[in-house]
Amino acid sequence: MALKIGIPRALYYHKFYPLWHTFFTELGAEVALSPVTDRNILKRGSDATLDEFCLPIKVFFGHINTILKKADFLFIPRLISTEKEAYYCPQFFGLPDMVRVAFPDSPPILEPTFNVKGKGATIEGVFIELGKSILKGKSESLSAYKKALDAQAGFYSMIAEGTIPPDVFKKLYNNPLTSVKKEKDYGRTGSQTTIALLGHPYNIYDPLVSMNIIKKLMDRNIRLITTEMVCDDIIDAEMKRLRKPVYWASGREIVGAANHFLDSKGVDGIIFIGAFHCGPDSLLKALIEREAQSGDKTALLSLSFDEHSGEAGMITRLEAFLDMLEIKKRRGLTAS
Amino acid sequence: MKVVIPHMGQLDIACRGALRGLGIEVVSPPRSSNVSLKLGARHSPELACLPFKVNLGNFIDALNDGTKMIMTAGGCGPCRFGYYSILQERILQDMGYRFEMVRADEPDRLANLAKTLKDASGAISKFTAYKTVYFIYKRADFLDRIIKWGHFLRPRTSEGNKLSKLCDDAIAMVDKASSLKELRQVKKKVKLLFKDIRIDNAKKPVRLGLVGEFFMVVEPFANMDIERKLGSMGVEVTRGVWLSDWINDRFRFNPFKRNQIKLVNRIARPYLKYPAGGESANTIARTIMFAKKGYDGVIHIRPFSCMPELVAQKILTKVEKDYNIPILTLSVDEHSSEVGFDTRLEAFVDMLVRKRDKRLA
Ligand code: SF4
Ligand code: SF4
Repeated sequence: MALKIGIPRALYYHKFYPLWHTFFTELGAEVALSPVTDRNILKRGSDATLDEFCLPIKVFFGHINTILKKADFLFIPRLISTEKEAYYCPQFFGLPDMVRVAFPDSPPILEPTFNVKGKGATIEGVFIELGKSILKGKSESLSAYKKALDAQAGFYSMIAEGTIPPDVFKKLYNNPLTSVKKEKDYGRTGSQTTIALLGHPYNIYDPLVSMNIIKKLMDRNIRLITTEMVCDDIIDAEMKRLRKPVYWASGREIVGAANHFLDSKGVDGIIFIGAFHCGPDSLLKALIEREAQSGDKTALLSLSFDEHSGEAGMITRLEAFLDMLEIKKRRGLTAS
Repeated sequence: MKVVIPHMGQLDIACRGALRGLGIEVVSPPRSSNVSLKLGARHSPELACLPFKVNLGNFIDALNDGTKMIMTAGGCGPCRFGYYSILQERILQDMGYRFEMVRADEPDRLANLAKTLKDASGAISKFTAYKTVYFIYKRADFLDRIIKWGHFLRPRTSEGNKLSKLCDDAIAMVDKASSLKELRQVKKKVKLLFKDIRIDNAKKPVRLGLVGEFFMVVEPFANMDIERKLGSMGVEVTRGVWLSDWINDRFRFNPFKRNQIKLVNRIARPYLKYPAGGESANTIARTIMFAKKGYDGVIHIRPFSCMPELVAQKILTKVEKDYNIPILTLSVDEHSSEVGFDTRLEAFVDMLVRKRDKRLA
């Protein structure tokens, strides 16, 4: 029987799933993915963590809880750094260890350490080791890794073309993550409002955490640009403009994209979604908001969610923001 | 040139005498008061961690007082601290202050420190920088020793006020010493003064380890003077975090002292395979070390929503069971009430005393 690898549908699943999924299935393993986040999952996550943890970490623990009995191994990569310029948030460093404490009866954890800043192994080497831990040889693992890279590249290029990640996942893995509109509705029609939706991928794309904001915006026929769609060149250029580049992986992309859109008129508005109790967000949000207030900038709505946030409050603020954009746009049209 | 350094334990005093020779005058804003904390907090993001807000309060105080230069440390992650100064600078500018900020990014590299000192004072050679940092280390080392003596004496003496005054005086004497020679003389004098405190050998204090986020452990304003409070309750406190260790681990001025970072990472490893930033590994390892040495309990203090310490706290729940050592975690922000804080301390200490007495009976 094929080995079952449990992958929680949380945190960097939202960005690296094609890589992980392909690697394991190419090696003949089966992937047991946790279900879409719901209240119950969040509740289980809260019970397994501590009050002050950020929402995404709580959600993550809830997902782990749902797959404890369904997998032979849990896959919880230790993400330290995957590029020279940036770290992940320190909470990622201790994830497997915290899971062991929270769930003493968990199946063994596959916890490859990715740290390109350190002296350790290359990413390729880490995958070979990972293959070894499920008894696969070097050449097998290497070829699975190559295929996985291709899958990840394919994912990126679909995003670059304008498909949001949940839709890509839906297409590739038949994932019912969010029920969004059909493909053909994406093309921008002349006066269509465009919004940059920025934040950590696990906040934006998780329907519970984000209170389904993607669907809400798409239902209103709004074209979306999310953080991952912004190309690296733009991010790098924006980082050079700062007094000091942001050194968190998602943080770089979020601040880079925000500053870019605040100045460029490419979008009508920016929505930033942060998690309450998120360390990096607490500082970066303030930087973005201050930047937004300095001069003639694109309109910004910044929202922070925690487990107690009500949907009604969010909808009110969202609608007010969209109305404001609408008015601005109309004024802009008559003025020109 | 007048320069402000944010309060962090005795950091300002360790630096002041050493930088005097370079023409840098380190000013100390009033030890963070509730007023400046409120001011700092009001201008900070609501969910920034406490050290950010306390630092900002210090800067506001100093700038109001006419200081024009801020000297602070940076870093490149993984935690928030490294990005503090960027946002603080922005906030202070938005408030309308005019000042210059020199920042030691990655302060654990001598070249960076030398550059920072150069930025603040003009020309300075690498050798002078090294000598300066060495002098800072020697000062910090003795300041830490004064604190250690206080930890030992306070639960054993009934002359609490005299001891407090002596500690403050001793620190003030170190503050005045401008050379290694003067520091040596001060050391001699201070040692004699401490002999003067009478101790009651019949007293058998319970022993408590104090671990947690660096700033919270070493900064008496932020930790509501927890060390003196515990001492007065008859507790012998041992800190798991020292400024002098921080310096020595990076610059190895005292090669005979073990590298504490390597040590704690190794001890924490069975629980935390990779340090999760900040003092996470230190917190876990010191707790284990205290337990092995038969301490009665451990206090874990951290800022509200501090990421590395949350990781550590989750893991401490297992250490607590495995080593059978009581742990009290205190999470502090600007809204924390000192009364509630004291009540929790007292209840914890009472519990430990009862437990110890039962064991000895
Ligand atoms: S970056 Fe923020 S949201 Fe993400 S895990 Fe860290 S604290 Fe949580
Ligand atoms: S270690 Fe804690 S207090 Fe220090 S920057 Fe990180 S979150 Fe803030």
